[in-house]
Amino acid sequence: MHGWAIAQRIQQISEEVLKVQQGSLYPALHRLEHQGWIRAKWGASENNRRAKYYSLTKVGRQKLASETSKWSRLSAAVNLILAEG
Amino acid sequence: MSRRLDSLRLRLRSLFRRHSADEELDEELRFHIERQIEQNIAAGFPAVEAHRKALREFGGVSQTKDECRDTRGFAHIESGWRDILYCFRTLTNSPGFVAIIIITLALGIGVATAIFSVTNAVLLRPLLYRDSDRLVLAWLDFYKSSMSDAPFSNAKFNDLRDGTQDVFEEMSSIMVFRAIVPREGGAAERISKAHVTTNFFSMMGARVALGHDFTTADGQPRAAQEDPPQGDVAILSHEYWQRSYGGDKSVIGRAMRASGTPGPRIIGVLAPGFTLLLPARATTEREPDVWIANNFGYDEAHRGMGSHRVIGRRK
Repeated sequence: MHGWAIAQRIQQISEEVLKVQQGSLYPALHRLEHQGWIRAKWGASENNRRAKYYSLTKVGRQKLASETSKWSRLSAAVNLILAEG
Repeated sequence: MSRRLDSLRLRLRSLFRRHSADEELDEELRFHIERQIEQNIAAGFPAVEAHRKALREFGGVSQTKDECRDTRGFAHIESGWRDILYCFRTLTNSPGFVAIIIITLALGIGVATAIFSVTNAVLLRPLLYRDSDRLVLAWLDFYKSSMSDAPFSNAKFNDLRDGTQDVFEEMSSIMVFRAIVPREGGAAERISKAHVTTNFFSMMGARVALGHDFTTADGQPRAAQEDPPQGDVAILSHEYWQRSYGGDKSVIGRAMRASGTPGPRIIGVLAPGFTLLLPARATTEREPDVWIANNFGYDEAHRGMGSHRVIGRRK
């Protein structure tokens, strides 16, 4: 997916809850790329122009799995605390 | 409509400065905003409004670019490996340039290495001999016949040594020549033979690994030796001992093969690595195979026949 599509997708999926400025996506993408978790490749877009496509690397996939489980543990804990409080 | 779009695209392009390192980033962000404008137009916004709205939704373009550049900057510090890969990728795009660089480096390093190895051998590294800073070479210059750098005869060497004892602690002579010696089974072998004064190895600090060094008695002329005459004595180079005698330790005391008369008696084997370094103009072998104790005596009869190189050690 290229950056614009990613931004669209985030907006769609989060049902417009996460309303971040689209531009702030790019430093994040670049950081992830430099970490080696995603890789970028230039390709032709759906309207046939040059666009930079991002995909997960193997390391990135592993990182995503571990970060996801970390996040669900954390949010579950926060939910528990809020429910108990 | 599409012409309006094109002009917008051009205007957008001017918004993004084209700078070598940032070109890709520019293109990426430009694509995003153009795509957003298209979407806005599709949603029914007029072109100018679609443009403005897209920029608003994006946020600060130059701020985003700065942040992206920052991640790049940090990444440079974080991982040199990525830099190397990046360099490599960039360089593969210009093979001619790379070839020139490699050739330049290769020549530069090659020349520097060559110069250093000569300097190191000639100027920096001391000779492998004992007290090498006090060793000197002696040779003869004949002014009348304008012959220079001539070797000594045995008689002249004896005179030189005996007459300069207040200046030189020790002095030894070396004569190296090629010899053909018989081998078992009728074969012959070409070896390099050196005649040296009996003090040579101790003076140079060469180690005799097997057997023992020459003694003063080994240098006595044959006539003065005990009866029956013992003949010449020899010390083998380590390399020759391995090559010709298979490293057999029982060679000590044995006579070398010779045609007719009994060959020199082997009394020792040098430790590996001893080389005879004389100036190139002396044209001597660097690694004689066999070293024979010089027992020519004073030899007045051959005073005019110089063939010995002379090394002395100053007091």
